[in-house]
Amino acid sequence: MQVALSLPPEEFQRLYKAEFDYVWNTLRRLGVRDANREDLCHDVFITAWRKLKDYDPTRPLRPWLFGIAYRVASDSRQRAYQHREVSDEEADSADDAIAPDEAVAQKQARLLVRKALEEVPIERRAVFVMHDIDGIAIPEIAASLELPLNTAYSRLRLARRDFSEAVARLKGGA
Amino acid sequence: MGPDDLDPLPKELQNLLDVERAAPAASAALKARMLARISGDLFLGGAGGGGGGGAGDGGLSTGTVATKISAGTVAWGTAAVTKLVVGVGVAAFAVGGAVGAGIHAVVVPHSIPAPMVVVTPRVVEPAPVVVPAPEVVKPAVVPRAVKSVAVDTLGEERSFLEQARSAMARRDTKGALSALAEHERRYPSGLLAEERMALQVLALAGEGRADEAKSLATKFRAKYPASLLRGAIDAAAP
Repeated sequence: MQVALSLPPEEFQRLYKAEFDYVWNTLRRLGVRDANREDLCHDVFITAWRKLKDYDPTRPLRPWLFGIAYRVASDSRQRAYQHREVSDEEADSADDAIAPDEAVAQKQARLLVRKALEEVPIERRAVFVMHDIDGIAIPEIAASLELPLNTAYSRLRLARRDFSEAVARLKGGA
Repeated sequence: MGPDDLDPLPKELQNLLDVERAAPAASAALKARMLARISGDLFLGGAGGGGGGGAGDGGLSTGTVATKISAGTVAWGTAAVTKLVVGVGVAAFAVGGAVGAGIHAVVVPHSIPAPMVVVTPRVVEPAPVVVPAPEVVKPAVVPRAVKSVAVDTLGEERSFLEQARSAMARRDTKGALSALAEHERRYPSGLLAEERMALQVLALAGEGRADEAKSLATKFRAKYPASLLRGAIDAAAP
C-alpha cells in the first residue's frame, strides 16, 4: 500500500500538539459549550488538515486556525446546536502551581470573562478575542476573517464596549 | 475607523483578560483521546464528525476523495485522504464503510473478464442493457468456495469492525475494544486483521492505555510495515 498525504502524520501530530490548547480555548471563548467542544475541536483539526493546501506558510498560523474555529463555531450555532450558557465547570486540568485561594479567584475571573464574552455578538467577539486576548494585529485579523480593515476596527471598538458593559453588569449583579 | 480611534482597554479589563489568557492547558488525557479520534478519522476512515459541525466548504463526514481509489463506491470517512495514491487493499475499503468495490476485489478472481464490474450492484441496476446478462454475475462464474468463504467472512468481519468504529465515534472505547476482541476471537487471521489491529491501537490510545497502545502499535508496524494505516498508528501511538 502506498500513500501520499498532504502532511505527514508526524507533522500533523506536531501541529496538533502545538495548537491544541489554542484551538480548545478559542472554541470556549467563542461560546462553545463544554459538551460540544470535543466535537467541534475535532472538526477544526479535520478542516485544518483538509485546507492546508490553502494555507500561506508565510503568514502566522494562529489567525488561520482561528478563522477555521470561528466558522466551525458559527456553523454550529446556526444549526441551533448551541445554547447561550456558560458552564461553571472547567474541564481543564487544574493549575497545581498556585495557591487554592488564588486558583479560585482566577477561576472566577475566567468565568466572568466567559460570561461577558457571551454578551458580545459573535462577529465582534471573534475580533475582540483575536486582538485583545490572542494579541493578533488587526490587519491579520481582517485577512483571516475576510473582513474589510475598517470593519475589523469597528467591530473591535464595539466589542470592547459590549464587553466592558457586560463585565460591569455581571459584577454589579454578583 | 482606524487604530487611532481605539481607546486602550481599561486596566481592570486588561487584568481580567490576562487571567483568561493564562487559562490552564487541557489535560493530557483529553489531548490523547482527541488525537486518537482525529487520527482515526484522518488516516483510518473513521466515522468523521461525531455529530459536530461541518465547516466552511462542506460537511466533514462525507469523503471527498475516493475517486482515485475506486469508481465512487468508497465512502471514506473524512477528507484528508485526498491525495491517496491507490494501492489500497480491500480491507481498508471495508473499514472505510461502503465496501462494494472491496468485496468485489476479493470475491471476483482476476481471471474473470472485465465486465465483471457488474458485481457491484450500483453498476448492474442502472445499466442492464450494457451488461450482457445476469448469468455474467452468477455465482457459477465465480468459484463457489471462494465466494462463499470470502463474502460471508468479509461481511461478518466487517460488521464487527463497523460496530467498533461506531463505538469509537460515540467515544465508547470500551465498546470498541469489546467488538474488536470478538472479531479477534472469531477471525484471528481474518481478512480484516490489519484493520482490527489498527483500530485496537486507536481504541487503546483513546482509552488512555498508552503503554498498551504503544506496544500493540510496535507489533502492528512489524507485521504491516507498508500499511496504509501506519499514519493513524503513528499519530495515535508514536
